[in-house]
Amino acid sequence: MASTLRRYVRTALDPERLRETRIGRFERNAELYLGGTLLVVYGLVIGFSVIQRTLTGEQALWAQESAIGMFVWVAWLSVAYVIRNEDHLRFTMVLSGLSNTGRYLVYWIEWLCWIVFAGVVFVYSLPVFGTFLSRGATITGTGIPDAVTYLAVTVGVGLVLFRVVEQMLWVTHAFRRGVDITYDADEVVGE
Amino acid sequence: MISALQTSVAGVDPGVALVGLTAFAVVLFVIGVPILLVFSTWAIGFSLFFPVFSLRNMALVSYYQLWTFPLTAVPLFILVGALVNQLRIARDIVEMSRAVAGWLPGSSANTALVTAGVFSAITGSNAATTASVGEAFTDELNEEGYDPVFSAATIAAGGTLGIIIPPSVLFILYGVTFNLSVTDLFVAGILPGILMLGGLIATATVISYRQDYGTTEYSFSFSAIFRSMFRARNSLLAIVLLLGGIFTGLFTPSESASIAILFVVTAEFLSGHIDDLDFVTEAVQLTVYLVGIIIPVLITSIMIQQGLSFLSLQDAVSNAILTLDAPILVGAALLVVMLLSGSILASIPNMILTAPLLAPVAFALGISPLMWGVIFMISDAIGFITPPYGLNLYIMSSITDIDYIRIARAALPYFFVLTSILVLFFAFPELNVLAAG
Repeated sequence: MASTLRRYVRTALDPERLRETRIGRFERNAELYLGGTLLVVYGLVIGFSVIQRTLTGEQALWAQESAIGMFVWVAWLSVAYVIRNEDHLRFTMVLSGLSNTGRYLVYWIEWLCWIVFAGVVFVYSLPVFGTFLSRGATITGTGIPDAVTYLAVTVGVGLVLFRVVEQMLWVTHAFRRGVDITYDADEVVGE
Repeated sequence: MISALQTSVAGVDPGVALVGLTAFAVVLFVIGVPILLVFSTWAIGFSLFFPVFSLRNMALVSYYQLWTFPLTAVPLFILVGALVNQLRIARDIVEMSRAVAGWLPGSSANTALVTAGVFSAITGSNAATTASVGEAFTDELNEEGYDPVFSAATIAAGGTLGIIIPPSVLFILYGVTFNLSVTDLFVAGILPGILMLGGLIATATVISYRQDYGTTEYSFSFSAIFRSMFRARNSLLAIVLLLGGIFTGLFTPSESASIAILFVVTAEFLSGHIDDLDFVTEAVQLTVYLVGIIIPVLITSIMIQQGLSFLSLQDAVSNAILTLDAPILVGAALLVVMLLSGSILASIPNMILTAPLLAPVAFALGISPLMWGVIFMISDAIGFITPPYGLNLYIMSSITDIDYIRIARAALPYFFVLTSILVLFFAFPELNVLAAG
């Protein structure tokens, strides 16, 4: 039991190992799968509504708001996906010259900033989501509550927090083992 | 906990707090914390010191700022560009550009610039254009004996066309943020875009002629141009669909992009150029990735902009510049601030934070809001080839392994030409006849 638990912990702390498990691919690309699918679907919805308008002179009522709702989901899922790839836009002139310890320190500052930002948005998004639910409005032309579109913010920043915690564990684990974690634009620590 | 934090900072002098907060944000930026976090930290600090905006506002901006149909066009335009890059169309565009500009002195450098112009009309993005053209041309230019630093600078400069030649992702963001018609902005970008392309080609031609760069194996031929245009028909038709639909008022930008995607995939499939669906996966992955970079910077920039508006910084800055009195001095000060902010800030925050700060001065000089958007975007585009934050320089540096300051130095002739065009439209905005209507 204890050794199984230890094995799980070791796998969870090592992205290389995790990638070889059954959930590895999903863990790596979860936001991409969902966000990418929604992107293609909303592109098709918009295309469909144009074709429908051209052929029949009428346009589906649900198309526009559904597309916007899916876009909001794509946007927030993408933010989490980019954290997984360590690629958010930054000024790198000083960062690329830092030592392992210096880089680790900047990682901590970054994580605190993420936790404060995503934490604030997450906490305050819950009552806003509640307001959307209690209002009971739906996406025009459908029976789908429009709260589903706001949920993108709550779930998105929730995933952001998850990715940040995941990164904290991996980078700290790598740093303690003496692995090179200095800045490299093309690399993700641990992979 | 948050109210306790607000109580504890309540006694701090707001001026001191603001200076401290801004200094802290600058430190975060310099040490390499992602820009969106620099902005969000400033915005949260601002909410604590100036409780005019509650922190709940952040949860609202994160949603309502995105809840607009024109913004749905951003991922779709990126997807069109990514699909074109993945498919054979990209090669056809290069061949067409060679037929159009390959006969000039500096054949491949000019071919790269024309390719950048065409890519701009498909991808709508500076970075995407620079990366695509950089990957396609770097080796070829080196083989033809160009100075690698000059080649990298030329491609970086060509990339600046991405946000001016329509459709432009930044024009969409600008229009959505400042309540201007995206279509009007696209139309107003046509002439400056063409002039910028012409200026870059003229510069590359003169430098190549003097340095004896390039090859003379290509000659001008109408039939070669038409043949290459026929081969590149799918990309040209995609551009016609993208822009024609928008300009005729048949489609919104999002609809145009969506139809262009359907067209590109269908046309390439029917031409037998599609063997599997891997290219779709890769294009979607790139799109999701770029959206994840762009959107949070947009949202957090707007959070800061709200704070700056509350402080009436807009009035303070414009009043300070207007005290210079003489219009020529006011204009010169405005241009200097624009170029400086473009070189220091990333394009989206620069657009959202600096453009409204300077707008009252521009309006006082008689520039219309639409033309101000275009002029500001040209300065924003120039910022892509000026250090310290010249994104195109970084991209070319990573592709070629050349120090980005050397590329910046080699890009100086292009910088002067682009700045001249900026000054021209700034001094005579009525020259952009397409913006007038």
